[in-house]
Amino acid sequence: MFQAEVLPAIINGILTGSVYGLIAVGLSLCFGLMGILNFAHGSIVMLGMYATYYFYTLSGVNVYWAILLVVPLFFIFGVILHGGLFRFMLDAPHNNQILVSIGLLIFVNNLAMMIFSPNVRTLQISFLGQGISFGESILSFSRLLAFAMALVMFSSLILFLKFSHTGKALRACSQNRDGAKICGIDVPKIYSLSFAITAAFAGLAGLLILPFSGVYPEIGDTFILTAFIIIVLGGMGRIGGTFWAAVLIGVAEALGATFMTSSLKYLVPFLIFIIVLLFRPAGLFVKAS
Amino acid sequence: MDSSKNKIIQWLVPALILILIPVFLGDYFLTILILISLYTYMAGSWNIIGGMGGQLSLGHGAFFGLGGYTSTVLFQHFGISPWIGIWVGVIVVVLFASFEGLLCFRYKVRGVYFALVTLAFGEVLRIIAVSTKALGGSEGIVMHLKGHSWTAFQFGSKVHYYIIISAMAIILCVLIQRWRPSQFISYLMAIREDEDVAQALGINVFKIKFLALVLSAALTALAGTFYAQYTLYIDPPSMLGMMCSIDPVIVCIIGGMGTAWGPLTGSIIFVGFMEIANSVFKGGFGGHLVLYGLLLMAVIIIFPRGLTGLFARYTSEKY
Repeated sequence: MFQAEVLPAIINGILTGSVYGLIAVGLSLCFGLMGILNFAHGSIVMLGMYATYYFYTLSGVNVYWAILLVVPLFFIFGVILHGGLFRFMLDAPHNNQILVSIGLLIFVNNLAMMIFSPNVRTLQISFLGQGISFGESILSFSRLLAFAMALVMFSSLILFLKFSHTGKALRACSQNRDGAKICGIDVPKIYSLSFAITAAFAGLAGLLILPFSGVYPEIGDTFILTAFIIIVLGGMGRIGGTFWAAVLIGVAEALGATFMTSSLKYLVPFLIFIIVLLFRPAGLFVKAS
Repeated sequence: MDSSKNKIIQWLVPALILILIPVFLGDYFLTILILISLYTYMAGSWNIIGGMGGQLSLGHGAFFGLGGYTSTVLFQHFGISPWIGIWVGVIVVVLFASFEGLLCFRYKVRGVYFALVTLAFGEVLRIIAVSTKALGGSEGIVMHLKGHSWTAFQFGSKVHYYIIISAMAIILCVLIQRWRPSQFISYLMAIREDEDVAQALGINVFKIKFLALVLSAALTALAGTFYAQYTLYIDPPSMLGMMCSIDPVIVCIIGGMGTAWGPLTGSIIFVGFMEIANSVFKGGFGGHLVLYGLLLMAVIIIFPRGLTGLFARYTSEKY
């Protein structure tokens, strides 16, 4: 029983969890440090998937080379989004920030629907299906790569925030914006930069997820709620906590799927979320004050 | 005595005109007026907890859907008239909202977190509805058709539906207008402005927020049953989808949150806008929703207090 069902479920869960982590890490930066709960984050991931898809079909080289296109492109996209939209929302009440990002989500999703049509598109590459066989299931290379990249992205973000000058400035802004301004930090520039990082991470997440998932315009909506759950469980602005929460949710969902009918497994993250939010609203991995 | 009688007449006459004139209009206009009334009513209900209480609930779709599903399942499987089912639906929704409110407000879930919890509750109901056979699963339930029948809440013409929903909307708006100076609403607005100060002043914050949420949910449940009877078909996306939660919020924001007549102004503009957008993008995928997203962003950035807020200095309504 354990060997045959539970262990594969746990390993699958960890891999799925790292995918959720890829999406949640940008969101965690956005919410934890800038205080903006960006509902459109999943839609940016979706755009990243389409960018990768068209890069591959038009150029024909290995799909992972798309990283050279997607990351800079989405970095610039993030700067534009911040300058054109979220800059106006920094001092607005939380409610308005949420609603603006919902507006952006509806806008981007339906624009994608108009341009790309609602069909599901998948990459047809033979090497993507290969992988390490593990019991009866196969762990494909693309999923293992996504897991490895999630570790890289999380640790580089943590190091960036902890040690680099810009990262420290960003944390200073999140603690006290006026204080940071008095210390000579260029607050609008810092915010613009961190929003750009958020968007670049979203694009990169889309690139890494596409090989094993396929893309359609509303795919972002399936991630976004889970990603919110993860960043709340991880704790506000705690990048490391976000990773553990992502793995926890992934494993819980996979275990739920082995013991329940498949569509009810989607309930598991929500139930964990509601319970945790009620008893530890600051997050699972934060000491209660 | 005489002046209050005058006041009633002052309200009654325009209300009667509003309700009776469209009876002579065509089906297309009736459909639009039904939509306007439905949105007015739903936004008015959301307004109680969201606009006046300042608690951004993104889970009113759950109350809407639970009301509609309860009455429909009772009618479909047990043959109970929707006129009874509508009240059973209200009771079920009141219990559900009490549970939600008890958990949220007891543990002081606020702001962004309240929005997320309500969203999660809505999703839980949607997933349950999708995965339960008795509730029709993802295909939904097509109601037994009874033709034109008062007891089954099914009418041959749209006029009946229009009269019911417009009366509900107007009564709600008038009641809230009359009720605004009351202690309950003042407390609710004090909580919106600053919860901690309100608590320090001796307001029972938990009780006020709890009652506001339950009242708002119960009113929304009535709209759920109405909508189910109007379309005679329910499925998870149309009854419990994200849009059921977000549409009333948007209508409220366009019209002005926390105002009595904001929902009506908002829904006239909203429905008109959507109709125009729909006819511009005929047949395309998602075209009108692109404009919908733009409208939402524009309204919040340009006039975050809504149209009523824009003209607040000319009217007597205050924030």
